[in-house]
Amino acid sequence: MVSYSSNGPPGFPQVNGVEIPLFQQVARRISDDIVAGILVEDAQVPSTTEFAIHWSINPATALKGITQLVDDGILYKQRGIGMFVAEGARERLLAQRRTEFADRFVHPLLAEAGRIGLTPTEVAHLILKENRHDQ
Amino acid sequence: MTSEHPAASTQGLNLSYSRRATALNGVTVDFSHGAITGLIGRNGAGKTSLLRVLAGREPRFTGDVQVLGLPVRKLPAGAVHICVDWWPFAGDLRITDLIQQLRRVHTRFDQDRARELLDAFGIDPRRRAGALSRGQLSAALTSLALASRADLVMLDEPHLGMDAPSRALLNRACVEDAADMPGSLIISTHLVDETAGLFERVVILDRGQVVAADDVDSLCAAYARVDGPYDLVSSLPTLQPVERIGNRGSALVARTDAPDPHDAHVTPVTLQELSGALSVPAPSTLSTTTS
Repeated sequence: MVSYSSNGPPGFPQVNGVEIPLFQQVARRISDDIVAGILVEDAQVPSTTEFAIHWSINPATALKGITQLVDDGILYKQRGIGMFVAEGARERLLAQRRTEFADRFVHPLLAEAGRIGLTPTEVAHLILKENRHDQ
Repeated sequence: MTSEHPAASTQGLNLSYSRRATALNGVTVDFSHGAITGLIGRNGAGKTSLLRVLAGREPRFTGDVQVLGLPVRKLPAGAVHICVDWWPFAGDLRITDLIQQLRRVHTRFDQDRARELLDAFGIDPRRRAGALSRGQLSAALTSLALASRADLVMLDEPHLGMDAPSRALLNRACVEDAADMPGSLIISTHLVDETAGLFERVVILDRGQVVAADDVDSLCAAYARVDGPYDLVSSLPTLQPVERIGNRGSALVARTDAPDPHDAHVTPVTLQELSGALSVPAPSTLSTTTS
């Protein structure tokens, strides 16, 4: 059984493997930068073309990802100039990711804990303990 | 989507080289205008045959073939460019000679772009074709194909013999052109993992037949990999025989046939995996009678 991890180019961000289509991975890449504060409000985002060329992906795919972010109110377009980060984009993304957090991280965590015989309480203790270590 | 005609369109295309060698069998497929389409399939699946028919170089077909809105037999010279991986002239000709030839046929040939690409690949255009390595020849021919600015450019396995950096460069060049230029591009390849991101749509051929024609995301979303108890997995309508290890099995199925995630691992599929798994049943040995 040979297993390939992604339809995207090497180094391209993946979300839980290749669960999401390439255009959504494009949207994710930009959203990650906004969440991390690398792209701030009203910052210019690379154009569809720049994105496509940089990652060697089809421009239509890059466009689809960026369009999704425009539809979600994360980016806005200034005609003839480019794409920019919308006001409140980061807050909107944080809210979105908080609702996804349980599905993406907590459920798999509890599933694995269950498989190896850790109770949720023990998992909670581990979380707090590791958090203290990291600080 | 505009109302322009597809870059190419076939209906019931059949091509046989002899009574027993059928290259294309009932191929009915569209190649979208202005898109980069991948033509994927194993060696011998019919990719080259299909491209040659579309280029107007293979007249022995039956069925309907339209290219750029015209019957293929009526294509004007220079409308389509097909790049094959061998040098069509004597080995002592130089790349610059080929450029001059192509400029005569393709009125929009972009010499600057040709030089830019050749330079990026590290190829001196004054060199003789015979002096280039296979990979360099591929790179040179592909560069000129892209620079032809034909309305439909077809690259037949352009990555063959190219090293990894050159392949990456080629992919990037294709995207640059797609972003800037009108025109349609069809690329045949079996290097699916490196090229999947390039394609808006793919057409997958097996044994001269189309087994899939769709955009990459939709196509992959329609299938899943199942890993689980061998008995469970082998009870499903798998695309290929179940891969077995111990009493576990692994196989690809249509998403609608996937079991409950509690009973087995169900994971997404990449285009690379799918291209190897979608196939036409092999003809039964009983049916090939000797003439």
